[in-house]
Amino acid sequence: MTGGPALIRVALVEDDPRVHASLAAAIAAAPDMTLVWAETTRAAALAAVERLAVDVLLVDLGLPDGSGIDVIRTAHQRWPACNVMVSTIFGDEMHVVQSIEAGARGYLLKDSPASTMAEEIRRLHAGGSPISPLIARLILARLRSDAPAPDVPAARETGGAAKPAVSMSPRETEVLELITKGFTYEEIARRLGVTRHTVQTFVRRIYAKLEVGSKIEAINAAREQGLLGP
Amino acid sequence: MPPASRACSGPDRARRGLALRWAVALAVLFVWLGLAAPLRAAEMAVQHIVRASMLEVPGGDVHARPPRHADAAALPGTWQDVDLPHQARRDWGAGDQPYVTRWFRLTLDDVATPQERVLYLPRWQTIGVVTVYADGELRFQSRGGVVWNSFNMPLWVTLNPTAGEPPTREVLIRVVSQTGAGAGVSSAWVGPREELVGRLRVREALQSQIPFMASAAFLAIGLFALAVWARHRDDTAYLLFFVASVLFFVRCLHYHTGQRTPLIPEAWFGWITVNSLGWLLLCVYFFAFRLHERRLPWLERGALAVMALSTVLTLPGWASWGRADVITSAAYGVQFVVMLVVTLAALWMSWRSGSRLAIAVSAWNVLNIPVGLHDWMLQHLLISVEGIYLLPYTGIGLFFLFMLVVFQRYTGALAEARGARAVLAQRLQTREAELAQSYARLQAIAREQMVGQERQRLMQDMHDGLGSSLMSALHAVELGQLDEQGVAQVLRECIDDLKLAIDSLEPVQTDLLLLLATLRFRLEPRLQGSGLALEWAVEDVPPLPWLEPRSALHVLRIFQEVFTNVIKHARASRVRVSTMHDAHHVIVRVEDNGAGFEPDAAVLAAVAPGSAPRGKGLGNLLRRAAALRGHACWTRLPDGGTRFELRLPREAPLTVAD
Repeated sequence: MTGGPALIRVALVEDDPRVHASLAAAIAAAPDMTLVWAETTRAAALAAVERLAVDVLLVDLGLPDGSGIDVIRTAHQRWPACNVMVSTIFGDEMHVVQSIEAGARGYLLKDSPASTMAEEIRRLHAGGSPISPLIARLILARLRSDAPAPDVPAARETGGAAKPAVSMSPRETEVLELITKGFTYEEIARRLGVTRHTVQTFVRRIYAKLEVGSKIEAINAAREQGLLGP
Repeated sequence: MPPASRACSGPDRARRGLALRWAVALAVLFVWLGLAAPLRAAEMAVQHIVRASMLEVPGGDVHARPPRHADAAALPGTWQDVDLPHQARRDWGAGDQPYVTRWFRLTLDDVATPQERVLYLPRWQTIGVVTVYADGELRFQSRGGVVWNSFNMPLWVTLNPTAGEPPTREVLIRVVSQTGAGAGVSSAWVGPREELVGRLRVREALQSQIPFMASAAFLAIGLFALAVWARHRDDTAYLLFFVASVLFFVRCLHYHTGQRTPLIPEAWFGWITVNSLGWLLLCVYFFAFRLHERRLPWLERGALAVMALSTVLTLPGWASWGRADVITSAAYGVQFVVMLVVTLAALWMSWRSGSRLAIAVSAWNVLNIPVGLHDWMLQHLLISVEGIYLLPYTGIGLFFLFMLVVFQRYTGALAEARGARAVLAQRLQTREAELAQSYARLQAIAREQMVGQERQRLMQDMHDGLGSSLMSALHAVELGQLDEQGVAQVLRECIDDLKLAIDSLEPVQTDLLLLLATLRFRLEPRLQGSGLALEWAVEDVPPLPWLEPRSALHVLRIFQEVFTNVIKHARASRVRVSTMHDAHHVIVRVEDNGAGFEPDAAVLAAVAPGSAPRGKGLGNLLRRAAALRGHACWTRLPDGGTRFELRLPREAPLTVAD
């Protein structure tokens, strides 16, 4: 370990023993990673988060004693540099978006082969975040500063045509629009004349804005309901 | 009439009682004024003259100006003593001379004081002129017309107007009349101005001012009724009220024209005055008939005909057939007969109808018979000339009844309108509630239907896709035909199927590119795993309004099948996806550089039109395309490889089959 590049410290929260085992095996098989801790319940995970810092935290949302969202939020607050990754079967909008709002920066599909899993963890650690076209469309509808698509349910939920709490730059919007058209990061980077890394940075920033936006919305909602002072 | 009779409730009766009490109070006040004035006058130097000497001389001229002086002693003929009031009867036979002059000599008490004294003569009446001399000096000359003179105005003459004049001892009243027209002079009063002015006031009020004021007031209300009728033409009661008010006003004019000559020729004034009474009475009867639904058409028509005939025959142009007074009398006679018949008929009808207001109006009309008779006798000098014309007062009473009816009708209509509004509002509310209920019901049905359809769609997809894949894998494993790798492969495909099914549930909002992007995102790991290089050459396409979950899943499954075929069978190294559109279609192309592929004719033939697309395979692909009203085809490319093309309509397909 000494002399070589620092190992990626990974932690795991997963209650399904098979998935747990397969993930742990994938991490163990990767030479540049080390599994710092692995828990199966929300309570144990929250305790572990307080105790040990990690580089990448893998969290399943459906834990026996509660939602993994709490683990994500706590870890993100406690270790802002930690990359939280939600593990999901389908990578569907509902699960992913609420995880990102809680502070997650990526997601891992549970059916991915072991090699892909390690690659995903590596990519996240390096600053890359995956984004599906459907999620890109949803974020566009929510954070677009000019005209949010009024038919998109997410836009309706956040107040329709009202100006979003946080808005995106034209470049960020452009990136998201290309993602909804099916282009990959490499293709987008080529089109925009930037590096793949820059595109990844855009996506990271967009995720951060989604998180901030959801917090501001929560505060505004609380203020409207009189839970907070002006 | 329903609104009027319905409105006859307790409070209305109370109001009518109040009006009655007021009327009684007013009557008492007038009687008191009439009685109290003479009582006060008696104790002062007031002389009531009830006897006079009279001299009747044929000749004279109603149009000639009177002499300045008159000397009773110098007049030829014999004076005779008469009682005042004196009535020289009408005489229908014509005399030798067109006019006759009558002199009345009144001897006054000797009064010591040089106070100003006035002669007050409550009434006189004739067709002609009256002149008054005090101790031989002219003091008064009646003006106005010959027929429509100031007959109904009290005569009020200052006897010694200038300073230092001795009290008058003798008053001479000269009455020049049409021969046969008769003449009447009431008793006279002589005394200080202040002592007699009260009597004058009461007389003036009763004879002319009250009829004048009442007729003017009713005319104003009549105009209001006219305005109401203008908006509600079918309610003729308002129009009748207006016409009656005009006729009453016109009819009352001759009671107070006084010293002024009428504005229109006398003959026309007389014609209007005489006929307005008859028409007024007809109006009243028609009004009474409208208070109940019973009508006597023949009576109405008959009365109208008689009145019209009388009106035409008394026209000034025609009237040369007789003397003015005779014509007037004849007209009044005809009107009286009409009134008698119609009054009794109206009373009988009202009685039968049971409408209380109609009975009240009709009963009041009966009063017109004795009152009309009285006025006719007064006009013909058959009774004391000192009497007062009473028809204006029965008219006033009638107008109060009229107003009561019209008022009830008006307030009734208002209440009805308010009630109608309330009913309408309530009905509207009920209707709204019903609509809301049926809307909610429809919505619930629609929601149930949608949920049902969605369930059916997912069931179908799971049954044909996921279910059958798992089932065949299970059988293969049980038969030992499938190794571990194969099982993993089947399971992976199942999960891919599931992911696409889930993706199809996400709202893509008419965006075909987003749908294709989602598919690429899902298939990317498999494409990369198979070493295929994907060229994504899509361009923006117009929104497809029909792209909802069911059709989205068809599109996803079509391209899933296409890509699966390319990966499994084409042995290609590159695959290119592109989109384009024309006026009617959106086109998606998937081109590979593989071995070339064309589906069997058998497969294409097996796709019977209308059969439900399900499961996998090319047949299903074609059925799905057909369900979208689209068209799928494969083309062998010249330099090897295959082009798959799906054309989709831009406009909504009629329905998207499962």
